[in-house]
Amino acid sequence: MSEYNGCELPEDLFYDLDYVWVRPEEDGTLTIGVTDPAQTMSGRLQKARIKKIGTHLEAGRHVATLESGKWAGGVPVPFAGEVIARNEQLLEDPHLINIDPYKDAWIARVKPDDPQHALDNVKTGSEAIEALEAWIKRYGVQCMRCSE
Amino acid sequence: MTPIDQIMQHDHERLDQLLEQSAQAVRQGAWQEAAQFLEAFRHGIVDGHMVVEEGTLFPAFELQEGSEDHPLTALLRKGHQDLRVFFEEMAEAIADQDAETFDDLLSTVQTILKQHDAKEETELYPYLASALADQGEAAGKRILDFEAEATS
Repeated sequence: MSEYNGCELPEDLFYDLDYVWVRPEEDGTLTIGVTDPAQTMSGRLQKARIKKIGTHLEAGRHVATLESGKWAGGVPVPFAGEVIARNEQLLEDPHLINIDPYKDAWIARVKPDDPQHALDNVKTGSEAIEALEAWIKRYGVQCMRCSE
Repeated sequence: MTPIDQIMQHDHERLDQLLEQSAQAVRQGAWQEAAQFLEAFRHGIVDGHMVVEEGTLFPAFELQEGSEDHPLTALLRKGHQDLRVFFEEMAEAIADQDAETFDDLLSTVQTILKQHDAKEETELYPYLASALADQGEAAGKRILDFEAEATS
């Protein structure tokens, strides 16, 4: 696990180098969430809307929208696919993203239309970590996690 | 000549009104009217306002600040990118006559616009006159031409 300015950046995940992380699952689906620096930038989240199961999304479309008192934005999918699961707990308690962005607060699981090329627009490993560190530096983010 | 910051701020207000007119039409179930207002809003903001900002105003600000990777313009560009996707999703919600989805998207978009516009009006626009070689005359004219086109 890399860390920069207090921001946790797991090296085994894939990143769109902005807000989103992607984790390949054994069944070929891809789990999506938002990064630690992104949850810090957004502030305490108060509302989450996640697309319904069965929704088909083109690459770049929002699988979810998140709102805090000071910020609102979309969570884009980096590939086309169908939503096959969503984290219902986040609909009740979006603040969970501020507590555990990489595990309990995953947002949705998506079955890609083209599994072979689903990860073409995301980066992983040292290349991703370097770019994310530059992102954190650019916006002057000092990560903070909420405990509850 | 009207200062560039006032022209851009007035354009925000004009665009907000068009979005509100679209929302009002959705509430009344006037879907065709809602689509027309939303398209007028989208055209004004994406093809006019954002083009002027990304093509002229942001680069001038970045040049003045001495950084192409300035956090303010990076954040504003990212905001534009997100908003373009939301506008497409709103147009689809209207085409599907899906008021619930439209309202959800409207709430998010209005929150984004409120914060985005406030940032531009306090941190960007006041510094443009000195950053632009012509004090923003050409950029202002392009926005005013767009406004005139919309009312003709």
